[in-house]
Amino acid sequence: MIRYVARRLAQAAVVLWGAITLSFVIVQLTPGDPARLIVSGGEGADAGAADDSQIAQIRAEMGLDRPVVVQYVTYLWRVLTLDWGTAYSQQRQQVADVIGDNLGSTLELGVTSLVIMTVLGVAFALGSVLLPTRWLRSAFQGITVIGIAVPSFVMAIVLLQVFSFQLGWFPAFGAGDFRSVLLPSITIALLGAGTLSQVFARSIREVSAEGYVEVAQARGMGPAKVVLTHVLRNASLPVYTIVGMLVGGVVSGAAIIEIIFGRPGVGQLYIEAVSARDFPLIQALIVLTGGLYVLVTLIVDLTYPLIDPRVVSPAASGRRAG
Amino acid sequence: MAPAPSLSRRSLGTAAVLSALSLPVLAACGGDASGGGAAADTTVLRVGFPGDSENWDPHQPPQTVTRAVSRQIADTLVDQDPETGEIVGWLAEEWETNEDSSQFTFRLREGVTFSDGTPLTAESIRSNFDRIIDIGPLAYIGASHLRGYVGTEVTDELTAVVSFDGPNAQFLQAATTQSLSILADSTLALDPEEVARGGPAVVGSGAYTFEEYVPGESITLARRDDYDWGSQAYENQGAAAYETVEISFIPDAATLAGAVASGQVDYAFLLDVSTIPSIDTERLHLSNVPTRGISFPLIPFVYREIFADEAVRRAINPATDRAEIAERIYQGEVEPATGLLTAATPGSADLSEFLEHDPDLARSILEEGGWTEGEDGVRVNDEGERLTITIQYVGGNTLYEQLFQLLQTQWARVGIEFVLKPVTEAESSEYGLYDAPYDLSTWTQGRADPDVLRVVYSSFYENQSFFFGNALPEIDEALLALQSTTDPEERAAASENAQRLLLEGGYSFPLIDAVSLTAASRELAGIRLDAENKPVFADTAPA
Repeated sequence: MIRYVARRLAQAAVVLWGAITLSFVIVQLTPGDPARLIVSGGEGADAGAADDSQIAQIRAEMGLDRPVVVQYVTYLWRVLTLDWGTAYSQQRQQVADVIGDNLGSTLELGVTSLVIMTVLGVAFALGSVLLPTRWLRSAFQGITVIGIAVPSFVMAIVLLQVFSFQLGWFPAFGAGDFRSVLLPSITIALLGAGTLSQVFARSIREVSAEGYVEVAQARGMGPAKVVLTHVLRNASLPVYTIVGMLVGGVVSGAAIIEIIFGRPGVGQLYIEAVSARDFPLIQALIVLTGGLYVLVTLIVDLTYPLIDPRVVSPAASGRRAG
Repeated sequence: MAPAPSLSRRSLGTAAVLSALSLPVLAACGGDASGGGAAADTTVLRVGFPGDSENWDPHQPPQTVTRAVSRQIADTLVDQDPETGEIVGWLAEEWETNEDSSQFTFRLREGVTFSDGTPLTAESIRSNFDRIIDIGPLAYIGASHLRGYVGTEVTDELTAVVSFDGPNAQFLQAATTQSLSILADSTLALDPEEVARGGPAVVGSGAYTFEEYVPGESITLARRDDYDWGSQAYENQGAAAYETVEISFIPDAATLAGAVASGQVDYAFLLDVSTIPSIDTERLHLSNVPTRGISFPLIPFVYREIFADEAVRRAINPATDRAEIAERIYQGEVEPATGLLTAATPGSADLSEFLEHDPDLARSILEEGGWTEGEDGVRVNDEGERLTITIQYVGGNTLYEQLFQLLQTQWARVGIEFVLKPVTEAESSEYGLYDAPYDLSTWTQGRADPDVLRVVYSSFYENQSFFFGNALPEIDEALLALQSTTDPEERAAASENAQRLLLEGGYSFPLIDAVSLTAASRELAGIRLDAENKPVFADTAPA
């Protein structure tokens, strides 16, 4: 067990280091002078009048005037001490403050999406396995394909058109009350729920074919009771992994969803930072989303043995299936 | 002819104040059945803006949304009548210009206070203009309006004399723009970055105060009940009808249009042309107001070899079919350009004789210039060089792509090859206006004064003037005439003369007069726009 935990922690550290290094390399690979890119922006009347002293100041603040190796080591140290520097596109506020201001709204969106996604995914999976007629089961399974096939912005526009503009059930923009988080959350949730229910349904069928399930059926239990008491726990293992992966999708999905629904948040901040070429902010966001992904995967990996003790012992799980 | 110093005096519009008082009563009778349904809808005006500029200092960068908020919270010395372009009183009730337009004396209105309770004095004018010069590049538009600023002399508590080191006739109109807003001392004492973060720290003397700013989400403005010094261009010079204005940022164009169409906001500022079909004009006022400033052009870089050739420059305008552009790209919502200024700009001139679509003329100009038709239809010169014009632009903007593709077709008909090179934003920012590896560029610049021509088409200002470093002396001289007189007729003549020279030489290819599209619920008595097309919420009331 200890070896398993240590191995997972080491893997997480390597992935995180990769994300940090990637965020460093992006600035180095940008064509042109990052400091100049930060100062200028837009065209016509929106174009900034960049003066050289401003550019020199930013270059010094970001350490761009030093050798790459020194920059890299300094950068690693700053990431470890959470010193992200200045967000130039946000009135020179501290990067940490800017992200802090936006994180709450994105977390609200992310958590609500995951809850709705899980509920819908499980409901549709159970429906496509347990419903009494073949026709209903196929319909339930078929409908989840829409969630996988339709791009998020199309889904968002359709939901807005119907539930906000026509029926007026939800506000089309803003982040004030709980009602405003539902429509964007449902948009993100529908996309993940399709994948989730497909994987879950297949897993339920596979587990149902195993010997101990047949035994339970032979003892005269009804199909619903068999699935709920004997199948679900083992069938939920792949789902657990998928939810971990979908967290990453929620973060990237948030960018477009936050723009369409006019919600502040990390996703919108990402797009602003990229279009303003605000490198310190971009770097922090890359590390943040990378870190979140690593964290969720780690939690999934570390709690996995609680659901299925087989994973800690490769020998046991490897030989058992036959 | 030197004009005699003009002394303007305006009287207070008492009728407008009375009508404002009666409005809340009407609103209470009208009620509100749709929208959110609450009775509070007569006290809250819900507005949608197309985005958050993240900089709310009225003196700093000139994003339209920032100026639109500045207009509500801060006043300016003078204002401009949107219909006539005439300069009218606001914080100043009288003003005087010396003979060579280098000195401006403003007599301020009595009893004006900032929302922190401090009074407006001549000292305020000095500290505001001094601050704009101090923060320089951050307030570059304001600083360019004040170019040659010598200082502001306070001759008594309510009289300020603003002096320049030479003629600066555009200054009077510039004093109507938000870049020269008058803010309270408490705001001027802050770091520019603190002011840019918006909120109650930004204190002006406007009809609304800046109550709250939630980044990426909204701005809340609160009415000043004691306001009674509205601009002479306002219908209502007293306190506004709506207690609160809630501005939501809705960056997605379709969501913004849907929000106003479904009654979730009462007013949408700056809609995208593509969303017009979703606006039901029975329930909404859709207003389509031409912008004031330069008409939307392509401007050739004269330092590029192809545009050093006069025949090529002169052939482009007759080769361009502006009516087709207006119809096909802008769905008939815009008018073809009739000069280098939009027709709605004060001091514009109808020079459509230079802008008629005449492919035969374009062909004969090119033939005379030594460009003969090559094998594949693209013209070549004596050295066998092809007549190729290249534009580089940030990809992904559908409107621009369609526009350039249409021009490609139009110009191909006279034997000009137009090459489109979409690039990323990062790539595009590698080059400035004076070292571009391509041949021409689009440009937009709004201002309700012909002086905008001098800024864009002269060689005077780095990063703002196209011919900086490549001066066209005759044109610079013609544009300077705009600075030497405040007389509108003389300035219009100077503007026409300069535009003629620019069009004759083929130094600009104006395409269309852009428009500001806004939509408002018919439960509002309409929203008036100022001379630069920013909403005036003080004048807004329930229908």
